[in-house]
Amino acid sequence: MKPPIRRSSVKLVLAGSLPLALTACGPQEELYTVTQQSNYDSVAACVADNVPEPACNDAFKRALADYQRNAPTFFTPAECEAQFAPGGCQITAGGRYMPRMSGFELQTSAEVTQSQLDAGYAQGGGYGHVATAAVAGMLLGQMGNSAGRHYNAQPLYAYRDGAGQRHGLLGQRYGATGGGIQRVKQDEESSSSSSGGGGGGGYGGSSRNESRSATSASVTRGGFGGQATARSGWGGRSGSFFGG
Amino acid sequence: MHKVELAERPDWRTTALREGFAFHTIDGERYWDERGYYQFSEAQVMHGLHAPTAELHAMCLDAVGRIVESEALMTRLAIPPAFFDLVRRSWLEGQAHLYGRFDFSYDGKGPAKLIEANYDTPTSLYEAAAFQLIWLEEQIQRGVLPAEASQFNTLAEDLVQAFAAMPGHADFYFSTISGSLEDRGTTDFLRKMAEHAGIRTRHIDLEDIGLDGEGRFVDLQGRAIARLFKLHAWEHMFHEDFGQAIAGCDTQFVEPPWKALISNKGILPLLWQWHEGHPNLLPAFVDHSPHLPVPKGWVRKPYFSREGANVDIRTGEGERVFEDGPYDDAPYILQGFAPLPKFGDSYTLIGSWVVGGRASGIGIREDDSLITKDSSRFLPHVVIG
Repeated sequence: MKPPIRRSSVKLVLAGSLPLALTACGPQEELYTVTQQSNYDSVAACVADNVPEPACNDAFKRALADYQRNAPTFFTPAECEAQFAPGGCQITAGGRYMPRMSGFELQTSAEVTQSQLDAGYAQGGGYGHVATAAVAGMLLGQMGNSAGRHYNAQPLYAYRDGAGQRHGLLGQRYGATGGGIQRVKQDEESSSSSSGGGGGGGYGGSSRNESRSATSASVTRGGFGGQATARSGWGGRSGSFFGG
Repeated sequence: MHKVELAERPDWRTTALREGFAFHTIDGERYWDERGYYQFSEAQVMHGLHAPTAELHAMCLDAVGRIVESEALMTRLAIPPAFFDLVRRSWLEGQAHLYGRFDFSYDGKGPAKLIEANYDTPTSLYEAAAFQLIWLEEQIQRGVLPAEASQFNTLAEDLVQAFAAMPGHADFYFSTISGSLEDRGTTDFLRKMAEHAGIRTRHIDLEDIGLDGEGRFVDLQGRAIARLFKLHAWEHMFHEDFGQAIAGCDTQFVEPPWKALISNKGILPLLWQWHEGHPNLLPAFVDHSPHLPVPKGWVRKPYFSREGANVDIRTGEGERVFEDGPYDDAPYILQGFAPLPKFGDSYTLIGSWVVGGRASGIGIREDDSLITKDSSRFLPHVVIG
């Protein structure tokens, strides 16, 4: 029997089939940024917490530079100590008073894929059963000291009333608010045409709305489409089969 | 070539839902209709459709090469003079094209006759490339059709290859007028094919495309659009506000501007002039007296018309079939009347696709009248033996 004439593989057209070129490594997956903040009173404490020494040194230097540029100053020690812990203020070269830098906050972040994130939650017992910060910490821990981790830092001060203050507690992780997971900004129309939208994940929160306002004022829109709109409505619907 | 009646798959609507084929029913009327199919022999498909499609495509490209060298011919095709250079340059630079569709009157016996070429914004692509293929595979699996049944349908494969061959690496934007489910179905399918080729794709509504201070077309985030598929006709874009910005921008348009010459029915008289008597061509002339009644045995069509709008037929017996429409502001052609073959109560038209320069497959439309319109039904086909 003669073989039938050749036709396309149905796999190319089925809605459920992933783009062939992209199956294995999945750059089409949603990306999430996981972050974790930890407070240290010294570089040594940072290193002792298994953070690479260069990252600790760098974080300390960055925090110190930030402190020297941006720390609040006061005319009298009393004004300073009204906000910061007793004895926590020092005089500046200019004769004013500023809080001592009592340590630094290290922020560690990395991008993970949706499937890595799902695996992280699964290990913790599932969504809703495990705190975001715990998952963030676990995922970052699993990444080891790979190049995918990014660090940032800022100075810490000892506040008079530590409770509820973001930088109030030294040497301690933040519990529920000390880590975060945020979807990497990406407009929802990108990629994955077959999904029909899919919606933005339930955590983190995408920031698609800001994108419209981010465009520069000199951009004009609406310059395409007017002609066809003028002719649509003819014959009751806007189809274009076997059209032009 | 004959028509076979067949029970529809009881679950085909669920399948359509799963596959995202949203416009199978339009205004309560069937558009996808699998209560029958057309069966062709391999010889009919290869000699009757594939070969003429490839040959006509070559003739069209040859015609474009001639037209762009003549301002008189571009004027005759109603290209606005401000766009002569854009159209010519797009051709001389060899700007890549993706797809087109010839509509044939073909009954399986005589030569296929070219009714028109839809070379700029053809649709009915998803149903031809995907849903009729899924239908075939399921019907073979269920034992309803024999294992040796196949289709003239390498559309998906050829689309992936055509996208892979496109120049550039930037994200590919796909645009439609907002709110058309069918158009969006077409571009979403094309996006999938582009993604198979490893291309990152995005959708943007045509109305949302921006023009920035440096004359670049940009998306909603202000990012430059380097590659743009537009399901929007060039003859419209020429007259829209952004039309004049196209020549100075860096965006690669698909289809490219030179496609405006083939999608235009004004090319049919030129093809006839340069290939008079070709078995797949119908006699065609520019209509210099569009106010007069159409002579018997001829059809009057505007240069730019879709869905059969403004087509005016006078059969050999003098019967008039007319479809009103909005395309009454362009020149007209007169084309020899080649009645569509009738199978049962339906008139049948064959859309034969060209993808990346190859004859790639067919889709079949049926209508109750001689003019195939947007209300026509789409039926699958089978090739055996």
